[in-house]
Amino acid sequence: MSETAAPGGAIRSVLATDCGSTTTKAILIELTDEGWRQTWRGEAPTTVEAPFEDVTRGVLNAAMEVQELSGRQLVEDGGIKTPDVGGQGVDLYISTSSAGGGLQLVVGGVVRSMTAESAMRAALGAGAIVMDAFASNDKRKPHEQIERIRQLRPDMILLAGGIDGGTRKHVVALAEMVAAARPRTRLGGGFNLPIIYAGNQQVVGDIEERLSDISDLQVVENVRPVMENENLGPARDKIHDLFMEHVMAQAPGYDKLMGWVGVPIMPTPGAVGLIMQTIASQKGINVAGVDIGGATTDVFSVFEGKFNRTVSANLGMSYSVSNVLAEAGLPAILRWVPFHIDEKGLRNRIGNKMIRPTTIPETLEELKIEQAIAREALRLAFIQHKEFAVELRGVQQERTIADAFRQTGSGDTLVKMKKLDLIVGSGGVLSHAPRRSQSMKMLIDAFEPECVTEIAVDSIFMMPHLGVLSTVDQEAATEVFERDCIVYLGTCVAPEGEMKTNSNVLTVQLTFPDGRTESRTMGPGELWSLPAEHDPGVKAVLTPLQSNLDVGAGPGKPLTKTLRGGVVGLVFDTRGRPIQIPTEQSVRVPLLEKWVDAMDEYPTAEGQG
Amino acid sequence: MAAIFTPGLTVTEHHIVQKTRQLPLEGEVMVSVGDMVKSDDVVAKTSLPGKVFPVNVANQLGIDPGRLSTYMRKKVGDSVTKDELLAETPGIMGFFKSEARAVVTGTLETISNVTGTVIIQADPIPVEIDAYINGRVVSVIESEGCVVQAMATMVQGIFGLGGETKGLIAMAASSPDEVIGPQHITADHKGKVVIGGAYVTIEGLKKAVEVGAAALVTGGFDYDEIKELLGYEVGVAITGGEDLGTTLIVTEGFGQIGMAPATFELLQKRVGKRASVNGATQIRAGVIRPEIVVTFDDEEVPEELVAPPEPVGITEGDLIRGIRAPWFGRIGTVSGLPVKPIKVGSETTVRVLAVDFGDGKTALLPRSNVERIER
Amino acid sequence: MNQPRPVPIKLAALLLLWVLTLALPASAATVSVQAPPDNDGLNLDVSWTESTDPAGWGVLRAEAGSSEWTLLKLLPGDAREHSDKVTTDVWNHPPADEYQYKVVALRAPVLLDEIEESEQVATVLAAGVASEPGTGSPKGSFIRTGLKSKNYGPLVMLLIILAVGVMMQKFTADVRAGKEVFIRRIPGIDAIEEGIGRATEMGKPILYVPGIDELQDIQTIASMLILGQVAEKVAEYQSDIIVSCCIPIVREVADEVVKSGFYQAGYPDAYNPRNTRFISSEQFAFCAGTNGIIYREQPATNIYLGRFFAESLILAETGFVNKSIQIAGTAEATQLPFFIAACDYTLIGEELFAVSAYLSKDPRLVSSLKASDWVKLFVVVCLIVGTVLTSFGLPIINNLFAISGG
Repeated sequence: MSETAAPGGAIRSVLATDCGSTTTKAILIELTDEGWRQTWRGEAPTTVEAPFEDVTRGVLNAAMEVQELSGRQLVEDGGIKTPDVGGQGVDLYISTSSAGGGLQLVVGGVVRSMTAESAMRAALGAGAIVMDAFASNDKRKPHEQIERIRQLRPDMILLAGGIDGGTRKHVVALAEMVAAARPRTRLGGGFNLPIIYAGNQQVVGDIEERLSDISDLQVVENVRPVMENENLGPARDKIHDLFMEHVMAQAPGYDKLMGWVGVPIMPTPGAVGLIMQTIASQKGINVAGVDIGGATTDVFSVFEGKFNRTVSANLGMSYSVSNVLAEAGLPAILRWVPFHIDEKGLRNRIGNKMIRPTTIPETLEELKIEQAIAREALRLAFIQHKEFAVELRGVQQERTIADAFRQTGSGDTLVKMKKLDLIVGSGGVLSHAPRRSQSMKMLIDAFEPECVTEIAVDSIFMMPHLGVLSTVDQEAATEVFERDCIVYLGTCVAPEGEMKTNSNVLTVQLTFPDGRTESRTMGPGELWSLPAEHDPGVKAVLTPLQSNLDVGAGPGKPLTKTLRGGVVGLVFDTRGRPIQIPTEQSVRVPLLEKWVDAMDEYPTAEGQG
Repeated sequence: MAAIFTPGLTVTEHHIVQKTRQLPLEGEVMVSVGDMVKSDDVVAKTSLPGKVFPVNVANQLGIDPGRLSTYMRKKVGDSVTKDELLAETPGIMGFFKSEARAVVTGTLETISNVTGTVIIQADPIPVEIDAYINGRVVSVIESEGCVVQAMATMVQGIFGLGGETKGLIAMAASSPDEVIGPQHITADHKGKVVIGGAYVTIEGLKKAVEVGAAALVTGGFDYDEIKELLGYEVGVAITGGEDLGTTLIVTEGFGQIGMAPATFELLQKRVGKRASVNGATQIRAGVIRPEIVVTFDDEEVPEELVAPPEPVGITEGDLIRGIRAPWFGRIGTVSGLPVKPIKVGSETTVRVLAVDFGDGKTALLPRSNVERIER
Repeated sequence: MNQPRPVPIKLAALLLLWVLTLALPASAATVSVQAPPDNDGLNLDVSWTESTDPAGWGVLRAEAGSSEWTLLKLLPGDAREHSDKVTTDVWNHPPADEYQYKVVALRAPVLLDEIEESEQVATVLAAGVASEPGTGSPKGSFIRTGLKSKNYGPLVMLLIILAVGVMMQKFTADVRAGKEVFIRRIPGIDAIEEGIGRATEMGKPILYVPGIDELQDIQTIASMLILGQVAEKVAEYQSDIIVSCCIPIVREVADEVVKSGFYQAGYPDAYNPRNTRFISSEQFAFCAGTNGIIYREQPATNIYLGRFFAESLILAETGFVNKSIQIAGTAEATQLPFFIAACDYTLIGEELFAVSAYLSKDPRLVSSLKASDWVKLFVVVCLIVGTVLTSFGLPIINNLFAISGG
């Protein structure tokens, strides 16, 4: 796969752009003496909307900025100069896009927790936003479903349902329902709505009869050919194809852009998912990632090779900030605020952030509130992700007599916090936090990692670019990811299990690379942070002091492990899982202040200018 | 951090306003280019497909879905009236018949021999689109609508609730700092676009709804009260569909905040004129702001005012308003534009501008936390 | 049994006896008969007085008004009382209303071993002087007061019943007031909906077997309650459910239950009475018939809830081979291992009775579930403590629950 080079041999330089809804970001990746590096970057406003209505203008502007900085000629005759000849031009140009609100899909299946969920997984994995999922058992009457489809106006519809040779009745009913709704595309225009059918292959004839006249029907392999397995690849690829052919083709300038790129343009979240999968499989670890934006929050996870992505459409830091307040509730946000605040005033402040989304926190107090909201947005998005990333349901179990009293149910979440190795955060509030310790603490508070978990942030949102690059050259993508994309913040150690609050929790013994040692016994409700390097890390012996607490070696057992630090270092957290925060304000505020001090999260009052 | 979005709102006395009037789906356009239209004139119409009612006739008859077509008394495309016979079984010698009747008046859409379901589509619902503003049709979008253009006073708000409405402008406040309560709203305000000041209390707004005011324009409003008013929280700023009775337009923001004097004066100047108001707000991609449009119709507009306003960046001497704490709602003059980014209280390093708030003190504000006020 | 006794004949017989005894030499004994306190209504204490000891006593009994005497016991000469249990087989020989007893003072010891039973009474009568008969009625007591015999059992039971009643009232009120009652997650029950979903996706029916016992069996009743909820879910998914029954009356009830389930879900049109089937009342004919359904119609999900016997493994194995998801539940301890081995999920014993409460969250069911859990806890504690104490020779707990007279 890594040898699909541009004409003329191996690739030496790559220009990658990501056309976001507001900004187009370009990065230059070059093969240097020390291997693959991301060398230069530039950005320019996206030009999809009036008055420009041509996405390539933004791309060229961003490329021009890179050209000026790097001295390498990238733009030639109103296009990207390829290939790389003597350090001018690039061998490969690649791009992702989320302009115009991204790819919006409606999915349908027979049973909500089975084929409808498989269809949703395929759509989300392809980088789409799932506007709604229909199923026979979604408790809506058919006419309500029809009304809803009419309102939604998706970019395309993905229909699944039934295993191969399974139900005919339900799948046909679904198709009839869609046909009755006569759905139209979001962007209008004279073409039929693309519908992908990825269900029971034995009823394709019935489906064609009902849908081929009113839509551009595409039939692919079943997403759930048998109850025991999913086959998401074909549906996902078809979504990508149609994204290019239909959705992108209509967006202004994309036809030109498609001619420039070396590999197909991908939806931004789809590309992020790809790089996550590449990293997880190359390092053999379980990864969770989050991208918190203004309107939505994307959560990705790769556990034991299984990739899942969710989009929390209305959890974000600006356009959707009021919705975080509505969903989490004011008390949930206030529990992270280390000072007293008038509630009505806070609501108005959040409302004003929603209607003026580009403002930035000027005072420390504003920053603390914003980060409190971010914690809740991240927490809620992660809960939604855990509920979605589950084992397949409806699968036959095999048991022996020994299982009599420990029959486990199916549909357990795949996201097992104890097994999580790495959390990667990205998005303005995490990547641009004034202090890295703030990003680290936000991620710890929101995700509540258990046992030993490394935490990192994406420095300049380079993951989409690297995702597309990984389809061409995996090695280059992972090299750049490690060296330039990811910023390791450090490692969080948190014992898992119910904690007794009247005795000590954890003993930590550390041996630093320079031979220095440090040890400490921690009580409940403490946070301890100390600086440490990412390489070579710190040797640690972690001994839980309560018999049911687990740091990774089993309940009550000590663990010896090398902990990798980072920009922040090591954080030992004995605040319990879930983190115990008193509701009484007079107790809570001093405790929060103690934790703030422990991580040197905010400047002290004297330090404030 | 580059300023990528400037929420500068249009507040202009003379503005060429273009309004695209479009049907939700294809239909008939009633006007042609060059026509002069009044705001209430219908410019396009169509019929929305009616609601769809699926009925499992096969099960009602107790027959196999495959044999449904044998017993159907109606064909696809037939129109049916409510309770009309759709299908029946012959029974045994005329006894033990079972039958299925139409649940709604409409057209028979499909008969499925797999599921046994018959779908009836209720009669279409006519939809008409009016011109919204008085003006001239400048272009027609085939089978979908048209664009109406007019010279008008245009005031954009920051946030609104409720959809399109029209009415004569009436003043409830005498100054932009006045707080509007129920005592300011009278029965005379029925059908009017009522202009308030700094803030409207929930009681004041409820009174406006009660007397039947077409719209209420205010500087500030409490975010809390939206929930009380609508019964749910507006979590994502996409509005326009609320069924409030009175369209609410907030020009400045949430909380008690004086209406920008320019806005207030401009609206005051147009008292008694007919305004077209829309509360629809969308702050995501494709920004839509609520608006008040007052067309000039037959009035003479001086030639030199017709020139479209040119978008300009903020320069020294401009009047700006703070749009985030701690300067939220404060109005001042730009006294300097330092080039070098500065670390502010939150430790964020940003580009700032110096603002003189009139009390002799100059403050440095992040550039993204101010908005220019047009004079 | 409850034959009305002709009073004139009874009187005449008594008169005859009285005349007969007058004719005999004066009897030495006066017999009195009394129901002992704290008994279950089957016992009578016979006692008599006599100043000198004869060689032995023979105790005879007849139902009042009958002259069919039975020899109960031969006793030594110093005996003056005898405790009699009038019947041991209450189902076939329920106790009569009144019994008469007489004792025979034997002139010399009698050996009856060689004598045929039918002649024993005559032999005994001939060997001595019979007393006048004394009569008495057996009488049971609801609560035992005989503290001397440590019979706390019924009282303890009454207290437990009252306690359960009070607990149920309280829990019902709690649940109604919106208090969360924690019910342990039972994967087997959660799997029912999953199984229905699987069947829907596969376009195959769901097979439900409510056991092979009669309707009045508590497990069958529990199974019918669950069937109602399962049918409702099946209707929601617009799938099919086949109920295979072994008892005709169970089939009738099951049919009604399924129908109302479909109505409740709002899909009365989807209900198909042909899917509730009576197979056979013969255990293995039923088993074979049900296996036939599994083979022919290949249900995606099999649910076995109720009372099962030897057919359990045959059904479950067939279902397993058919690759169905199987959920079983029975309180029949002997069948549990088979179900556990062959099914995906098994409800063990009492879990079967909890399903209904678990699924419906009906306050009454939930509260009775919780109350019975407390009782179970109490019983378990008593068992453990009782075992330990009894081992050390302190049968305090045993005595608390003792029912029959000690």
